[in-house]
Amino acid sequence: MSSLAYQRLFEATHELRATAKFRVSDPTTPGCAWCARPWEAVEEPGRAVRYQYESGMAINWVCTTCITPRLGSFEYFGTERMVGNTGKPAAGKLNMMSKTGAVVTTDNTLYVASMNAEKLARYQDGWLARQGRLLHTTPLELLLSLHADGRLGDISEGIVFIGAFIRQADRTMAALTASRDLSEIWTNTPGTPATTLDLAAAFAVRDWVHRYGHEKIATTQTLWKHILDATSKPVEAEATRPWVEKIKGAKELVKLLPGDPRERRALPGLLKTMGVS
Amino acid sequence: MAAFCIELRVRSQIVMPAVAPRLDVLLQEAMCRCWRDWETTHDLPLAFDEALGVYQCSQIVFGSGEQNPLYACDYTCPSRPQGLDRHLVRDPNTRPIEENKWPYLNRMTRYPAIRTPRALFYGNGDGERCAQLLTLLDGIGREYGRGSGGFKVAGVRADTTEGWRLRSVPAATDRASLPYQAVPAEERLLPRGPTVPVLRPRRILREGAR
Repeated sequence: MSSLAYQRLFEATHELRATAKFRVSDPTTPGCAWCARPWEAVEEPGRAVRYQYESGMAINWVCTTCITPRLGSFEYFGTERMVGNTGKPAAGKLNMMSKTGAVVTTDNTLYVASMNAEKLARYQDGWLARQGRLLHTTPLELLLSLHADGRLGDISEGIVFIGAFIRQADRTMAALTASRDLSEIWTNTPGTPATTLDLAAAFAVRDWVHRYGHEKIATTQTLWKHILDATSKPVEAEATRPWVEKIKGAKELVKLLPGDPRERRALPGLLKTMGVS
Repeated sequence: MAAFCIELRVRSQIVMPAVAPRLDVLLQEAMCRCWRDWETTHDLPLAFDEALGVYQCSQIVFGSGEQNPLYACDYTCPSRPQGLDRHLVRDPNTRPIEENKWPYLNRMTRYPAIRTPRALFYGNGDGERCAQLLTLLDGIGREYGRGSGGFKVAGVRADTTEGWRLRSVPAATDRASLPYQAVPAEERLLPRGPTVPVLRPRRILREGAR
């Protein structure tokens, strides 16, 4: 397993661990329970966190990188909520933010994108928000904007894109993968293992749309119906002929499409996110 | 030693792992099963490329074309087999197994999968022996033990296209010499080797798109 993604996330979250309260001790297992790396291979060898969801449940020894999304910090995020009848404040955590994703750039900077307006309002005074790295946008829009203004860096050095955080941080951290090419962006979304996006193809299709002046139909069924149908069922050549005759440059478009049918399906959404319509 | 192409008839959807299945890795697993020895690094019936330090064999290539396209589909299976007794699980037609409940409940897991009638492996070596070894495997890809990635060897033919080059190579290799658009990654070049920086093809390779 490549550990570049874990290294990037570790380097990008020093401030979070510095301000969070957690106890580190010597592990009693051969490796991290979540990422399955041996202790010699993790970012802080020999330092582990004892994690138990509830009493009576299994005890996990987790490396300091994997536990990071579960760490709460008042300074880094802010107050997430008041707990039950006690009224005690609970610190914000990455894994407790729904509709939220993140990007770690090549210079190990963490940007968090969230569409959770309620949490964003609560975290405005936190360190992350003060740095301007907690943004009200979708993770994909964040990735595209970072790429557009150059803050993402040289992608061949490896970036980390996390499409969505979920409460079960172990599932997020189980197979974190770095992306090293625009044609293969790993979404790192738990629940959809090994899913990639082809941004290079999306940029090529965007250019094709502008070249042929198809902006009005760029994300509509008129353009995409046959292409999307062909990713899941047989499509007769006869049925596509009117489409080829109607759409200028259709044959050129077909050559630009990625080989993975799942990446083809994602293209209209990507174009919409890019604002091509 | 001769260049060959093994054609597989795929009978169920393939759940692609993060690293595309490669012939040498599959043969290593088949040899382990054959000898019931998972400790030894077995000798494979494939030519070894001294210059690249790899076996001359390709990753999986989907034999798609106009007549047999490549489809995206979901492969759904219960997260674990325990607790699936009839009296514990209601009829899925009337009430599906919960997908998003507490961790100790059984749930259906959806895997993104690929549906294709044919898959190909290219190589250089003893093609017939490789095909024979492949028959020892239950399937290709993730969740092969639960019915996904099932296949049957349809035949072995000679290859004249140097198809074995459709595989990962060391990162220092000249990109221009590769027959595909390379993606930088980190993976094992040998079945039991260390993880190293490599250049590799896209995970989903189509035969016609080469």
